[in-house]
Amino acid sequence: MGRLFTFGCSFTYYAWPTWANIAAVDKNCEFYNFGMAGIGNVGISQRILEADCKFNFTKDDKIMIMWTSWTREDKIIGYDYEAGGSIFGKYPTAWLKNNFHYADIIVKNSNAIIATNQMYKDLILWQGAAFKNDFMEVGNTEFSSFKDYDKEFYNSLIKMYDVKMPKYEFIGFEESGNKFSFDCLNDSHPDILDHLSIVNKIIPLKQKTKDITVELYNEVKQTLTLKKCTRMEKAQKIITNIVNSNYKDTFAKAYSYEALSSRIT
Amino acid sequence: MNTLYTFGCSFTQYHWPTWANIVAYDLKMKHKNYGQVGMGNFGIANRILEVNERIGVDADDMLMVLWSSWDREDRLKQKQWRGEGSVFSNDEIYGTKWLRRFYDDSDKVMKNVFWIHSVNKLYGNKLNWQGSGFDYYRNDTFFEETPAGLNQDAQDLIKTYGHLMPEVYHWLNAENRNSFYHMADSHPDVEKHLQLVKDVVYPSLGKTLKKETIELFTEVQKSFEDAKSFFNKPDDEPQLSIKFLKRKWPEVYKMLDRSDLHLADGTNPIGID
Repeated sequence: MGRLFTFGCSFTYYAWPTWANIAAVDKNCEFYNFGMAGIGNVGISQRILEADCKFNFTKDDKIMIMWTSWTREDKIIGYDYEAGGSIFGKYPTAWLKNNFHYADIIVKNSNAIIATNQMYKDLILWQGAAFKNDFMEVGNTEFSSFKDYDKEFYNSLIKMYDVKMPKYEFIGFEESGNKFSFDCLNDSHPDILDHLSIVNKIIPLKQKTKDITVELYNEVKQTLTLKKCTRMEKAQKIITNIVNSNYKDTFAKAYSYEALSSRIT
Repeated sequence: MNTLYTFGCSFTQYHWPTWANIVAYDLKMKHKNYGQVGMGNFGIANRILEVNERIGVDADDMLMVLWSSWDREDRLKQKQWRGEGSVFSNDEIYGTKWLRRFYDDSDKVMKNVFWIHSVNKLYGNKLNWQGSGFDYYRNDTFFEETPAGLNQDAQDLIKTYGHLMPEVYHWLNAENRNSFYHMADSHPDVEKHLQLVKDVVYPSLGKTLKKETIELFTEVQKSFEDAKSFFNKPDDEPQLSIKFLKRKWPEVYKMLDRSDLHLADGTNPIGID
């Protein structure tokens, strides 16, 4: 195997190692993580092309993609993607009432995912979706379901694209949102143990990888608990320190984030 | 009968015949025109993808695209793509507050490069012709808070990604005079479209326009030019153009393929019933 490139949202690159990092440790290969908190599927598609431009993919390289929620709109501000997340947190209700339509997100997400699969199908080692329900980030009840008069049309659209959509697994990461990460942090992203359980289903992991990941999880959890850490900013520093000090040959090697601004001429 | 699929903005589908209609007429091909007024390159690419992946294009069919300007955001409303043109000239949707918060040259560069490149990577061998109605990267901004040229971030991105852009003809003089020499509209008129096909599109295909085609569209141009008094209400010019064409040139009017216009008539816009 050549190099490993991973893509997705905050479920792929975050303040602690994710499924992508664990997979990279297991494969023990050159690894680049293009995950980006808040990014949507159109942005993820763009980042795959970006990686291709920067690293000139070869037939030996592999791509893993964790597609995200469908209700995101990606913007680049300055030198990087804006971590905006759902459009429902980005735009005011008045704007959404006039400009949000499910057809827009169904068509754009479907086309982005289909185009990526057509372009890079030979390199995709694995792809899945972080959310079981593509539209779960809607939140705002006013937009939370298809309007009756459009229901049939939207369902027809989804069905129409389904013919060309790749068949992939829905991971259901959002279920981890019901608890505190590491049982103490004021954050609901899946923690290292959640990621291990997911990646173990994606690719058969070596026992060594599982052991070292559990060891890292325990060390992080123990330290955060001892320091009574609940805030993300503080936790991130602690975790980075642990990874860089005690996991130099494993997670530290596969911990960097690839920004849009990096490696440009 | 083989089909000509054309894609673009108002330079491809408008209130009078465009290069797309002229080519379809000359080649005697069935024509599906997916051009749409106000459409940007993201929307155009999405439409090309839709046609290729959903409808399917036969080896004998032809695909042509005239890319649009770079400052557009395409959205679907209800059942159709809506062409809203530049974000800088649409205060109803965007406006100063939106532009301050969300507009960035880098965003524009990456999205346009990505989608134009993707189409070329996926369907390059099927594209019989492609051009651009505007210069690549052109900044259409009239937003006083944004400098006329691209910012440094965007220029840096172009250095890395610019090589992905296909080398195409840029129709830089498309809008340099009033349509038909008298309208309060600067969209390329029939004369300019005919010239584009004759001088640019056809030579690249190794073809020569039929005399009959040149004569027909030259006549259409002339009749629009001569009807200056008919177009005496500038605000109604689009509707008047359609009316004029329908009355004076019914056979040319039919070429506009209104069932596939995907304009505000809401007709089966993305192809499903």
